Formats: sequence, C-alpha cells, structure tokens
Amino acid sequence: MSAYNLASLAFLLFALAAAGFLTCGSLVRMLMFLELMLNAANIALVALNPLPASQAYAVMIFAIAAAEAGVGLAILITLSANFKTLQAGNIKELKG
Amino acid sequence: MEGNYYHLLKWILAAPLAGFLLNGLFGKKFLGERGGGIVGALAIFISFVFAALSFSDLLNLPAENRLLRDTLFNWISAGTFGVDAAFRFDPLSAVMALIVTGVSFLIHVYSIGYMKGDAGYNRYFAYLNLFVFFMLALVLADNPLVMFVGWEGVGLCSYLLIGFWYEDPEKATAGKKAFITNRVGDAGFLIGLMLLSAIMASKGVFALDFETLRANAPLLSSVTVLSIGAPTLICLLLFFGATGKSAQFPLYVWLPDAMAGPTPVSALIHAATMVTAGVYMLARLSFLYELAPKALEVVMLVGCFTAFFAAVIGLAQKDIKKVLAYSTVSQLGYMFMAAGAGAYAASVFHLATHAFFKALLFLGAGSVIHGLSGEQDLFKMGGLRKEMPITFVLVAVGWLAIAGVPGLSGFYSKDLILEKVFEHGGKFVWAVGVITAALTAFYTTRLFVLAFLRGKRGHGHAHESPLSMTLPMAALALLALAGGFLLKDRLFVFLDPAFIPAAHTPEAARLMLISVGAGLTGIIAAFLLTLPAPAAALKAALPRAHSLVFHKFYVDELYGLLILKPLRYTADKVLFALVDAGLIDGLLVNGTAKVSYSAGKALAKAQNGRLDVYALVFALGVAAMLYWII
Repeated sequence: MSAYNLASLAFLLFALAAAGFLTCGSLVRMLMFLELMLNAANIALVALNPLPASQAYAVMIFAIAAAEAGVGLAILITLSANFKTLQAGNIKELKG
Repeated sequence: MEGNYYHLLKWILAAPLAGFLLNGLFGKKFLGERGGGIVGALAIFISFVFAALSFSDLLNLPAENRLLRDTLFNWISAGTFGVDAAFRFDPLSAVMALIVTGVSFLIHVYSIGYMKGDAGYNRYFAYLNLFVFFMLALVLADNPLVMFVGWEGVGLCSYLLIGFWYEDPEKATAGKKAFITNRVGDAGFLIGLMLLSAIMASKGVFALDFETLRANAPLLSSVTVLSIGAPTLICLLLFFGATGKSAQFPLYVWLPDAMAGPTPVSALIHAATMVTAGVYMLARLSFLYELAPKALEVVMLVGCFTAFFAAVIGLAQKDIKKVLAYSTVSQLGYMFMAAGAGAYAASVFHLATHAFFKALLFLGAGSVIHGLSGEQDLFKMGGLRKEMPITFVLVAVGWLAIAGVPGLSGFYSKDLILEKVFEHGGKFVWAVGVITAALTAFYTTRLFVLAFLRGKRGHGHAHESPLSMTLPMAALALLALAGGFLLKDRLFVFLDPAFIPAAHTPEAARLMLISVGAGLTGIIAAFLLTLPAPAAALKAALPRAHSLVFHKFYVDELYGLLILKPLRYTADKVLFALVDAGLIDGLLVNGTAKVSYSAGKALAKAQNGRLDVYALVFALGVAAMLYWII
C-alpha cells in the first residue's frame, strides 16, 4: 500500500472516530472512540515516517493509550456508581 | 567667596540642637524635671556665649568688611546650580542672633519655674530648644533656602508648642490653625523663591547666597512676569509669606489663637522671635525691595492697616493674653510700616525693643496667670499690686515702655519709625501711626489698671512667683528700660556703617511731641475709662461698636464663611462624595472587583458540566485552529 492510501486510511479512521465521539452519548463508547482516534494517529505516525524515532513513538502511544484506558475506565466506574448512568447527557453536575 | 571663614557659627546652632536631642531622647528617663530644665537653659546659654564671641570677633573687623561665614557642606548640587548649607554672621544676623539667644535664655530660665510639675516638662524643653535651633538657622542662613528651612522649622515648633497641651481639643485646634494659616503664607514665600531662583538662573546666576543675590539683583529689573516687574512680584510673594509668619493682615488670625500655648511660648515665639521673622526677611532682602517701590508701598500700607486694626481689636479684649497678642500684631505692623518706608534699621530697632518689652509683658502676664492658678480674664483680676509686688513693678516697666513714655525703649523705636514714615510714607500713614500709638498706650494701660490697680474683683488668693520667674523678668525689664537709650545710635552705625546719626531737626522734635502727646492721652483716657461708671456708660452708648470690636470685627467668622465653608463643602460634597467615594471607591476599587465577579459569573455558564458539549467545543476549536494553520 502506498503512503497515500495509508494516510487516507488514518484520516478516515480518525474522522469516523471523531464523529462517533461527538455523536454517541455513552461514555463507554466515547472512550472506545478515543482509542480509535489514537490508533488512527498511530497509523499515520508509522506509515508516513520511516525513521526509527517515529516507530518508537508509536510504541509510546500504545502505552499512553493503555494508561488512558485504565484511568478512563476507573473514572467511568466511579461515575456509574455515583450517578447510576453512563450517558454523558445525563451527568450535568461536574461544574464550577 | 567674600567674607572670612569662621568656624564658631555652627556651634551657635549645634548647642540648641544638642539640647533638643538630649531632652527629646533621654529627657523623661534620665534627666527628669530638674536635669531637663537645666540642660535646656544651658544649651541656649552656650549658644548665647558663642553668639557673643562671634559678635566680639565681628566688631574687631573693619566696619565695611563685617561678614563671617561658615559653610557646612554642599547641600544641593544640580548641574551648574549649587546651594551650600552655609551660615553668615553680619551685623543684621548678629543683632538677631543675640536677641534670639539672649531672650530665649531668659525665657528658658523662666520656664523652669513656670512649667514646674507639668507632665510634658522635658518635651516642652525639647521643643523650645528645637525652636531656637530653627530660629537661629533662619537668622544665620547664608541663602534663602537655608532660611526657608528655618522658616518652616519655626512654624513646626510653633505648632507643636501651641498645641502643647494637646489633650485639650481647643488648644490642638489653635495649633492646627496656626500651622495651616502659615502654610498659606509659606506657599507664597516658596513661589517667590522659585521665581527668584528661576529668573536668576535664566540670567546665568546659579548661586543663591545673599552676596550673589545682592550683586545680581539689578538683573531682575529687566524681567516682567505676568506683566508685573519681576522684583515687584517676587517681593510681594515673599511679603505674603511674611504676612503669615509675622501675623499681618490678612493672615494675622492665627496669632491671637496661638495664645493657647504655655505663656513663655507666647513670649518667646509669638512675641519676641518667630513672628519677627518676616521683618528680618524684609531687612535681609532689602536690596530686592529697593528695586520694587510698589511692593514697599504695599508693605507699608499693610503694616499701617494691621497696626491700627489690631490695636482697635486690642481695646476691648477680656483675656490678658489676647490683649497682648493683638498688641503684638499691631507692633509688628509698626515694624512693617518702617520697612515699607525703607527704614530697615528702624524696623530692626523696634524689633529689638519690642522683643524686650513684649517678652517682659508676656512673662508678666504669665506670672499673673501662674499666681492666680490659671485665671486669664482681666475682669477677674485687679488689685494685684499688693499680692504680687515684684511682678507689679516689672510689668509697670514693660507697660511704660510699650506706651511710649519718653526715655524707655519703646519710645525711641516707635518715635523713630513715625519720623521715618513721615519722611517717606506721607502724612496719612504717619497720622494712622500716631493714632495707633495712642491706642497702644490705651490698651496697655487698661490691661495694667485692670490687673494690678484698683480693688480686687476675683476670688482666691494670688501668690508671688518664684525667683526663677522674676529674675528673667527683671533682666528683660532692665533691657526695656535702658535698651532703647543704649542701642539707638549704636545699632544704626553697626547695621549700616554709612549711617550718620541725624541731627534732630525742629521738625522731628515736633513730631516727637505729637506722638508723646498721643501716648499720654491714651494713658490718661485709659485711667478714666476703666473706672466702672464711664466704662459702663461708654458700653451703653456704643453697644454696636463695642460688640463689633469685642468680636474682633468678625474676621474669623468672615473667613469661616468665605473660605472655610466653601472649602468644607467642596471637600465633603465634591472631593469626598464624588471623587473619593464615587470615583476611587466606587468605580476603581469596587468596580474592578465587580467586573471580575460578573465576568466570572458569565464564564461559569460555559462550564456547564456536560461532557458532550465540551467535546463538541473542543473539536470545533481544533477544527478552527487547523483551518487557521492550513
């Protein structure tokens, strides 16, 4: 596959994930869309730059994605315990 | 630099300053009452000795070269402009320094007895020493700036001493009145000085010492400011400062109130020394005033009016110290009259004799007040000659001296002033002067009769004052007796080597007879009119006039209405309500707080706690940024 196709794939994946992130109401799904966006970024990183450094960055982004998933899921568990819901639209009290 | 360098001058000033520091810092704790009084008086005595030593050295110099100078350090140095902290000792300074230190010493000794047992004893002597220090700085200054430091310093000490018993709000207010009234005059003085130095600098003269000013004063004549000749304007502004310090119309109102201070203070500051600063300033800057005949005319007219006006007010006052205060204002008017007529030596002569007899009268009044445990109302005195025989005799000397009885000091100086005014000022001013002389004789005689002669009107027993009070009075009485006779020609030759004692013309003799006659008329009239029956009849015949005079022509009330009330109104309604409360507090201080508060409140709405909205805004923001970048 050419770099052009790979970039298109990354772009499409990112755009779809972002659209899903913005439109779906469930926090669990939003978290999953976030992961997808990270993966799209990873594809772009690996595909468009052959330097070893950028390949290494891709591995670091896996780590960050894993950490993000851990923290995000922990937050979701607390939220569901406190608000009895995981719909973003129903949680309105997180404000100053 | 002209003049001989002379290192003793600084010590004339250092002694009172040391006395001030000793009494001010360690007085209450270490010196106590006895030590404080002795240190205070001793400091002035040392200063007097140094002044006398300098004086004798000055006399040893040839007459046309009598000038000693002492420079401490370079005070102001700005580019080519420079002013030194320097002092000078010439005949005029010498006379003033000797009067200041001499009379101050006597009054310090008197104060030791008078202030006995006062809670602020050491504070009193500290202030009094500080006053002498500043007064000496004023008279010994070699340039107008050092003079101004002394000028302000004596004002400060005057304020501190008038409000010495600050627990009494009335006395504290009198202190404030004196200070603020003086500030008005000082503003004029300061503007005059600035104008003087600015014009001098524009003519390429960058030093301000009196010798340089004297040499370059004619340069001023070619300059006009505000379409008035520069010398006239400067002289008028400086004279406005003098009307504040020397209690002339229109700024004399503070002096009668200044009588709230301890009586020795009234004698020293508000009769003998500080209030004469204006006269001294005029004599010192006479070379400037010579260039401004119009300003001299104003000086003479103001002096003449003040002399008469204050004497009239003095006629009907009840308070023994108020009578003397108005008398002081009136006598200062005489001095300005003389200065305005160009007879500076005569005004300094009257300054000297007035310092003697008025200090004596004030100390006598203090002795009476002391003896009567604080009574100041003349109508509650009477018959004190038996209970206070020494004070009686000494005050009698002061009374005769101020009334202008021939042979005593007041006669010589007042007569000379009237003669000079007749020569240079015209008949009208002279006539007012003669009438004022009669009035002066009248009110002092009235005071004397009411306090010492006739029957006793008050209750309670009076006692004679201690020796520490009567001795200084005796010394002043000697000076008041013989001072005029001894000083008259010597002083003039000393002040002005070119002076030739004028042969007394028949004209002068006639003038003298008239003024002596006026004085005697005043005395006799006072003896008659203080008898209860004529006094009551007079009061009944002229109730309006009496009330007008008794209430001091309502000048204080007039000032209150014309100046204070608008000022208070502006301060309250405009400056306080509008500027302070409205603009500063409302708009600036609270306004800033309100703006950030409501901004926070508005922005808090954006943080609505909905994650999906945040995400949308975030995405839109990123999109906008990308659009901007690409």
